[in-house]
Amino acid sequence: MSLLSLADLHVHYGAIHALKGVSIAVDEGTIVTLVGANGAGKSTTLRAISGLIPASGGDIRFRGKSLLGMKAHEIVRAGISHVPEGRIVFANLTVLENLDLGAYLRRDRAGIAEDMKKIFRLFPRLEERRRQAAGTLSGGEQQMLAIGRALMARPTVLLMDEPSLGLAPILVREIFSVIREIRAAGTTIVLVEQNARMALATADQGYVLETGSVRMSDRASVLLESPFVQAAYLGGAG
Amino acid sequence: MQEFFQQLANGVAWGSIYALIALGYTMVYGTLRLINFAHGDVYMVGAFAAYFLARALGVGTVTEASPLLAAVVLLGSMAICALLGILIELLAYRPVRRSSRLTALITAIGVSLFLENFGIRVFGADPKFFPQVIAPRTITLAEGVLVTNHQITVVVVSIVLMVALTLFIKRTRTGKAMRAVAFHRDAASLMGIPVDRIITITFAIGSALAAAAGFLVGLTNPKIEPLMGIMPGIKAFVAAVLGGIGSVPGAMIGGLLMGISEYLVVGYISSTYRDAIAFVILIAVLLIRPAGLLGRNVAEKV
Ligand SMILES: Nc1ncnc2c1ncn2[C@@H]1O[C@H](COP(=O)(O)OP(=O)(O)OP(=O)(O)O)[C@@H](O)[C@H]1O
Ligand SMILES: [Mg+2]
Repeated sequence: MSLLSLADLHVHYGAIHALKGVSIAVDEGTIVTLVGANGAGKSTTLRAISGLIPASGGDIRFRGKSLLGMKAHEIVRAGISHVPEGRIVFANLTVLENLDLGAYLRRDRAGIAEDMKKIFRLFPRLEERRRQAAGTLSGGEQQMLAIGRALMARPTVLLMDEPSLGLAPILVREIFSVIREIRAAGTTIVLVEQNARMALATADQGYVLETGSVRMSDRASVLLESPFVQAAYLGGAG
Repeated sequence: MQEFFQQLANGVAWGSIYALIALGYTMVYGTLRLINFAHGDVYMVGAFAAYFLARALGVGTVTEASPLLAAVVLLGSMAICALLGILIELLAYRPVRRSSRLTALITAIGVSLFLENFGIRVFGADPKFFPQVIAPRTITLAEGVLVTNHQITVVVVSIVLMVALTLFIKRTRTGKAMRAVAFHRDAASLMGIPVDRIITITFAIGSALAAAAGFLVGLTNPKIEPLMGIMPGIKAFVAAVLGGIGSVPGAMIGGLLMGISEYLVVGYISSTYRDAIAFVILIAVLLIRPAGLLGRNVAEKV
């Protein structure tokens, strides 16, 4: 059985039917990517998993238990962390304070200090800026902080919403190599991306979302070669 | 010059009280973007809670006035109002959290009217005289500048509370969580922060500070009545706006400036205009610097 599974998930924003029966299976230790155009429902899917918006139908199961009805902070406690769209670092807090907040639910001081070191090894630039207000970081640094902050919770599953958005190509590659490192360390990842090529090249499994429904799903390597995906999401020439 | 320093001393004492009340406005606004119009009335309840506690302890009749007793009364009324703040948040504001701002605003006005009428009904409309929990003394600060030990108590207690609050917000895990919730509620919940509980704590702290202000006012101006919260409530709100609503140091500075300007008006213009200065300041801030002295300059939808 999958570690995390969405079954026929529906979400409404008032009258807007944003997810129309989405089913996704995420196996432990894999990277699953959701690709799709603007407004397809990628962020909505992640927001529903982490309890930021209620599902209006279907189910979300993690380790066999339904997450429906749980508050967002309880879902973090259960082991799912979310790097939100647009990063949303706490601008008025320092880098260190942001990372501390990532570990809000933990009490193991030694473990927290150790993870903080790991994150600084992953993102040396954050260490240099640790006493700086997060709002003064560059976009790329804020993305690193948002990822680091989510990792401080030691999640089982990491949800990442467009981590490469707005970053220079060299930083995009850096972020993707970090994503692979995080997976190598044993964390399961659900990756939402508009950079479909990079995402599919990195992921194990892929889902193509279109206006609130899964249009296709397959092994990421298969999707990468699919003529439909190439035409619609990879700019024609594979 | 003596006159100036005398009014300055009076202004600092009253300003400390405004600052304590303004903190509640600013903290609640910071986390919920809600102007808690009932906050001035919580301050009134704080004064009455202190009054009844002092009476229950037999102050002035069976027990002698003492700083220890005063501390018990102060902490007791703070605890009672913390509870009141929690109840207000749970019963009145939480149910309308996802409704429009107008709904929240009307709810706040409703809570305010409720507390005022509750006060009139239960405490009585006639003023009560606050028992002397600390024996009064006059101290000469400089020639012609007199203050009472009560005024000094006001300033000292306010400073202690504000320092404690600042340390709490800066250093503790809950304080950091409060700042995170104020910045972005959803992002805070993604850290595992129980947002609802943090909002409740914010109300409890703000209300406890208002209670402290109520007690301190009882000490210096021992006539208390159920509508006593209206004017100071408005002025403290203006103080919070002046300092930059949402900013904790802003509320402290705004409160002090409000108290000082009020007493300078009393000293140099006329005590008739004492209450008017608040509105002059409000209009001036809104015209010149809507974000307030320390406020972040963000466009706000009201
Ligand atoms: N808060 C909201 N209120 C109303 N409608 C919303 C809200 N958030 C999203 N929607 C709608 O839900 C649909 C899915 O939005 P979602 O943000 O999930 O798309 P997305 O795939 O993440 O797009 P993008 O790539 O632009 O981030 C869109 O039609 C969007 O307009
Ligand atoms: Mg999105």
